[in-house]
Amino acid sequence: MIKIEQVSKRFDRIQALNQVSAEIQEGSVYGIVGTNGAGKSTLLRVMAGVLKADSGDVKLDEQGVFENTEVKSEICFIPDLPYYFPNARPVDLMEYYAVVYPKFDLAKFKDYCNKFNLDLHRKLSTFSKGMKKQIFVLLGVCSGTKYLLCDETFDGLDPVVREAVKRIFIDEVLNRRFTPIIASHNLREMEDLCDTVGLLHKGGILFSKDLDELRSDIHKVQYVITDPALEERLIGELDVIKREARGSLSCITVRGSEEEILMAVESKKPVYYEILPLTLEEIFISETEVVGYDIKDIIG
Amino acid sequence: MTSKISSAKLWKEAMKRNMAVIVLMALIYFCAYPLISTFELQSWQNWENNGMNIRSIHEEVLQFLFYNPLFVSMTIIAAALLGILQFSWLHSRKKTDFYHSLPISRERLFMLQYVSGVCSWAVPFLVNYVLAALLLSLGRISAMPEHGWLLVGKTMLLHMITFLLIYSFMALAMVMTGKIFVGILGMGVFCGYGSFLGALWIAGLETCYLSMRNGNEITSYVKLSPVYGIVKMWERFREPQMSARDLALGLLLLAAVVALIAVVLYRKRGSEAAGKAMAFEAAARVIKFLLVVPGTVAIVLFFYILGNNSAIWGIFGFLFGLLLISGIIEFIYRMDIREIFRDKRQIGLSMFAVAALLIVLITDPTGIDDWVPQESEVESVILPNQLNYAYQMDLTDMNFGLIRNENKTVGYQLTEFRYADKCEITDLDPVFALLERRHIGEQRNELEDDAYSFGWKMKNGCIKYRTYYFDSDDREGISEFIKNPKYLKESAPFLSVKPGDLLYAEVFNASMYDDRYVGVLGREEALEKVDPGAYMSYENATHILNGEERSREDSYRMVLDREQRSQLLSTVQDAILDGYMNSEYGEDMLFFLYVNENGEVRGSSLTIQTGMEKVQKQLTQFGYHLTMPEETSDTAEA
Repeated sequence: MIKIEQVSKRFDRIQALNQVSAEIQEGSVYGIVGTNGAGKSTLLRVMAGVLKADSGDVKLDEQGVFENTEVKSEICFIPDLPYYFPNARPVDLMEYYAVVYPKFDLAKFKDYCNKFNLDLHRKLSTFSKGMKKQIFVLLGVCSGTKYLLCDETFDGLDPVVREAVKRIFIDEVLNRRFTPIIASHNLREMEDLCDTVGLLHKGGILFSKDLDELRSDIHKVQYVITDPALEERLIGELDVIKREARGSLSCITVRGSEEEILMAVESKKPVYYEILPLTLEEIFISETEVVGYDIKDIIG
Repeated sequence: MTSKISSAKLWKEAMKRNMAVIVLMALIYFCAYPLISTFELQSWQNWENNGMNIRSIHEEVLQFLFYNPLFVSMTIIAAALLGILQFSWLHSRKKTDFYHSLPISRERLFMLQYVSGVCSWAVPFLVNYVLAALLLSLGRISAMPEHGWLLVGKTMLLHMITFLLIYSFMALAMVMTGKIFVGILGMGVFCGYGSFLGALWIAGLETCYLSMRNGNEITSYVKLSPVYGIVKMWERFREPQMSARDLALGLLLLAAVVALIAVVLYRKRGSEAAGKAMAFEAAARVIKFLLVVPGTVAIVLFFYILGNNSAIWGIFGFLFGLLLISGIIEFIYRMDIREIFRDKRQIGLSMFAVAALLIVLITDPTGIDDWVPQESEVESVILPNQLNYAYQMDLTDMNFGLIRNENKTVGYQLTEFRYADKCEITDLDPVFALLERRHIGEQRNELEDDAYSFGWKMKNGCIKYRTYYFDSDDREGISEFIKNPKYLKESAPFLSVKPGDLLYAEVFNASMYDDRYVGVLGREEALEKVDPGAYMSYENATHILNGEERSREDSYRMVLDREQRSQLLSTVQDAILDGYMNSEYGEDMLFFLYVNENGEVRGSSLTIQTGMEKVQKQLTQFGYHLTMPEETSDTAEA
């Protein structure tokens, strides 16, 4: 398990992380989502032991990560712009990773490269952005570490490759103690892959929850209630995050259990009502609107 | 979860990354050493027919393989470049993220980079150097001089020390900074800051204090630079009678300390420092302060001197310098012209510090300017004399000049030094009595007074130079002192030389020579180690010139035979004792070689002045044609 305890990190005048806390269980696929400048990359770099937190701690199995080579040997970090040696080929990186990560599976890496049609002996500088990301994801998976930290890794991958990588992740999670931690803006992809999500906003964590639990705790209800007073009473009874109206049709995003919400709505004798599934994107937007980040304000 | 990363494998991977550098180094050193050696060997195949002898070949090998400043420069440049290459990754966020995410401790990472950098230079250098030495020793003629392989070992060691010192400093500069060009500037600061401070200190003293205007000490602060240490180490290595061992060990220790500091700082360095000018915020402030304050003082002095000691120009320099240096450094830090005066508090602090320094310098609260030591603290004093530079002769195989008589060959190498540094007056009472007549404080007039430099050799070993000013109308006092035979003999040992001590004398037109050429006579004969006792029986000095030298030199030099030089010696000594100060210098110089009471060979040269009439007459009698200026009314009066 990775425990992030009240981690703060400042760069000059910018507070990149502010008292962030989260727990990442082993064997889960953890997604870190957040607004631009939320601190996702910073958090990953702190978790990888690249940056030292100003306060707080990141612990892996009760041991601090920073400058702890034993702990770091169980973490592989893939940044958004990975570095490779000049004129390096995949085989060169493979050999280097095999030295640095003694559990590196050479055969598996070669096999994956073959399946993904990635030439081991071709210079990385001639690869496309997506192909480079593939190489690094495969290197990360084959390194044999317990944790794989991926920063914006799925961006740049075509849908077929993305699907293949997802399957690899799932296989690894099922077959061994593998915990990928993925930071991304691509919420649709995260929804398919992750089972736990942490939402970062302006250096702070808004929530860190199991996805199913998240979905069970927030709902979108469409209804038609002809009596405005009843409607207002309904709004007052529920924890409404967002409210929209198109003519007589109203749509609210509400926090709470489905049963409670349904009871409240039914008691107002609506002409029509329906509970709609929320996507992760809608949950994300709703949650961040609460704290004042409104996409509509940005794009007008 | 034990890390089982093999150091050998990591090192191998690091060397793979450096392959291009290794190949480049190997190519350069191959061309520099074995290739050139092969060409030289080929040219020496017919050495007998080319008028060479085995000793001259050995000399050339010594110069090429062991005492070659070009190759030392190459080592220094290689060290600086490798320091940048090996540690520039610290200045890239991508690379820093990569390396710092790996399960390798920082100390190990640093050592890997450090050692692989050293090996990338050392292996190509050592292999090619030894190959060249082998070629030279196993050729048809053995071109290696005596103890050649010992010299090979020593030279390799000194090159290694040179490399390690510069490399360590460069690594430290890269650790302390976050941009490559700032790292290079930092290296410049490491190499030059100490010397700059020392030189600035002297410049400040000489500007503000009349008594410090003797120009004796400014070059001594060059010593406060690691590069100077390297130069000195190689100089001592070149001199057979000097040992470079202590200095070499000292520099090696310094390299180790610097590398250790680099490791310690690297451990504390944040990964986020990559891309910033300075890696440590606190250090950046301190460094800025340490650069702004002396930099501003330097500019103040510059404008003050340029403005003919004008206070207005000094104040201008103060404001201009402060804002300029502060702005430049801030620009280097932030690369944003809008932020060059961002740190107003530090500008204020620097302004205060510079002002305080200048006030202290100008007001001279400790009385530096009027300082005279206590007689009890002084061991001896060095006073000016009327002789020009004297030359110290040392026995050495590296002969610049040869003197050969029928039986022996004597070699010498000219080493220039001020005679004033060597002669000391121990009878201090007359010296202090003389000082009673000096002008003090505001009485001094730099333009009208006579200024004399006194070198106080203190009992604690240090030498302090001060210039004192005397009324120019009171020359009687000073000239009586300086003309005093006892003083002259103490300050100018040449005056005690007897004709039997003389080894050699010549007169020549100095305008036709540079100083070094004075000693170049002939090179055909082999040089032997000379028993100092042989000097005492030296007779009939003959110099051997090759054809070109002879035709060039005969017209404006004359070597005096034994009789001539014996006569001339006493004439010159009398002329000095009679006092010929303030007469004009001619173009002709006298040059004597003699043996002193300790059996050491010493030399002395002096320019013939218009006041030395008897000397001129005697030389004319010998058949030498002098070139003397016409006497002016001033010199005639003197």
